[in-house]
Amino acid sequence: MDDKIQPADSNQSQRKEENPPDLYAARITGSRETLARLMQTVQLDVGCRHPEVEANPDRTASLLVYATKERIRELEAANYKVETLENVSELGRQRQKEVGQGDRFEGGSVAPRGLGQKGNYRKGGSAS
Amino acid sequence: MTFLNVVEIESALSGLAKTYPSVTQLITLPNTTAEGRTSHALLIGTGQGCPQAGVLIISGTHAREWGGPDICINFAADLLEAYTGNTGLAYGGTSYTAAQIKSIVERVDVIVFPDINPDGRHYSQNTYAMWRKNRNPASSGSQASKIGVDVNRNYDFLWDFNTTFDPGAQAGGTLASTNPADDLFHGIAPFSEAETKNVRWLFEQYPHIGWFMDIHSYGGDILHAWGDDTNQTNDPDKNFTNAAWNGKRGLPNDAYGEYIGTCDLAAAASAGNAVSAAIAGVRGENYAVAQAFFLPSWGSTYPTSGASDDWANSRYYADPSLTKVRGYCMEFNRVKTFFPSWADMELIILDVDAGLVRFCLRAVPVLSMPSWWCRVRDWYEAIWHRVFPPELWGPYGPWERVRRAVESIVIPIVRPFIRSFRERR
Repeated sequence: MDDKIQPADSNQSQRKEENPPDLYAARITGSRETLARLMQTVQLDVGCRHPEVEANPDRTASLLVYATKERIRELEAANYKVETLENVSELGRQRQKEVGQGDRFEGGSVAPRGLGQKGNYRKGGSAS
Repeated sequence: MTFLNVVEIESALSGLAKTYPSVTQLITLPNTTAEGRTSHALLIGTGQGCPQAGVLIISGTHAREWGGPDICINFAADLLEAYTGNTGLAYGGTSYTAAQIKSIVERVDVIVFPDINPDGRHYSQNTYAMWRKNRNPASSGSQASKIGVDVNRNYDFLWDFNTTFDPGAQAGGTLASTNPADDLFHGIAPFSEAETKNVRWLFEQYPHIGWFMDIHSYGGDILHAWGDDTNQTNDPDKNFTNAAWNGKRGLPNDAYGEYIGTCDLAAAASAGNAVSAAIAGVRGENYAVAQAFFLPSWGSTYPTSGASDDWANSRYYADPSLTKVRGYCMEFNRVKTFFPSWADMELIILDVDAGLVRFCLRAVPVLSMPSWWCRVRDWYEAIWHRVFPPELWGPYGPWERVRRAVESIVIPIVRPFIRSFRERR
């Protein structure tokens, strides 16, 4: 692996414009040492708090990151094994259609109902 | 159904407060966001407990982690509906009796603050879905790429990571950042952001809060103290307040470990396991319970600075006169996506809300005293504080000074004996 990748926030460039380039989920596979070294040199968007790393049967591991196509190409050029997954920006745009429009609770005139089942339950889980 | 937008979250809280006025209080948070939004929290409880416990549940910290506020609103609605209907509550295979719901509402103040970062959520739901931070432009220099602070790196727990952590601890890229363009930018000072100030304000206004849950996604983890270094139970001097250990935190298998009391450590894991079991009971989703410093799936370490759960845990360790808080960070959704479909989100809501009810049950005080006892205690404390003003004598009056004086004499004498006893064992 070489270190041609800029050691800065992977997603800075995409946000310099009003319409930033899409982000893709990408799975980077390598030895623990390779992935550790990658994370030491490049600040990647790895999700919320912890990077999601899965151990593979061949003793390698896979790290899930979010990156632009440009950043993925840089990682590939640096000889990292990268599998590009879904376009998460596009997924986000699709899911934006599943966000409520307006105000279903009418400014507080209507209370929400919870999804849990109400009933007379005994300790241990059965309903009476 | 669909994901709640930021207006609906506020309306939902208002609607619950209006529908259940005898058991709720709508709390207006004092700090407005950078875009001028006023946030609210909902207190659920009749205040009949003696002692009255406190639970604070927050979510929506990271804008793109959409489901958190929806989980919280459903949880509040379920709790209120079951209590007023005198029924139990079931989520898949996990159920709670009417008596358990009653014990929560009557003996615990449950404060739900579902959307602490409404500016970020609005931006994520309408413009750039993958946005993580708030929308504070103060450090941006008018560049769009530099807007926002990572709210969960802005709490006052080892915030100045360049001073307090080992430089090598930066390697995992999870600690924090001083660069406003980064997703982990920690702001210009601890509690510089309206969002974190509001959480701190809740802890100050409701000092009996002893349980804290910050809901994030994704992963399927329940993370407990500490997030800065390995836990250790032997040496209280190795702790986040001790500047002598600056520059040495954040790496495993070295001289520094963050001190946690033996009982606190056991209790933190135990409550986490109880929440995980409740979640698993719904439809079999197994949430891992782990110390926040460790990556559950890999065994590697990923320290954080300025995170909410660590700050909540640290309050008591920094000032023992404050209520001891058991703070957690939950990463909901075992499927690795910030944006589940709403159909999937409904299943996740059932999972997590089952866990939250169990979490609140853990907060119910084991012993209950008659209410007159609490009134007598309050009178006694008022008289005590009048005779020995806390601003002069500290929260415990002269006894704290006596205790400290005795400790300063006795502990240095006793410590070598304890140490040699441990070594011999």
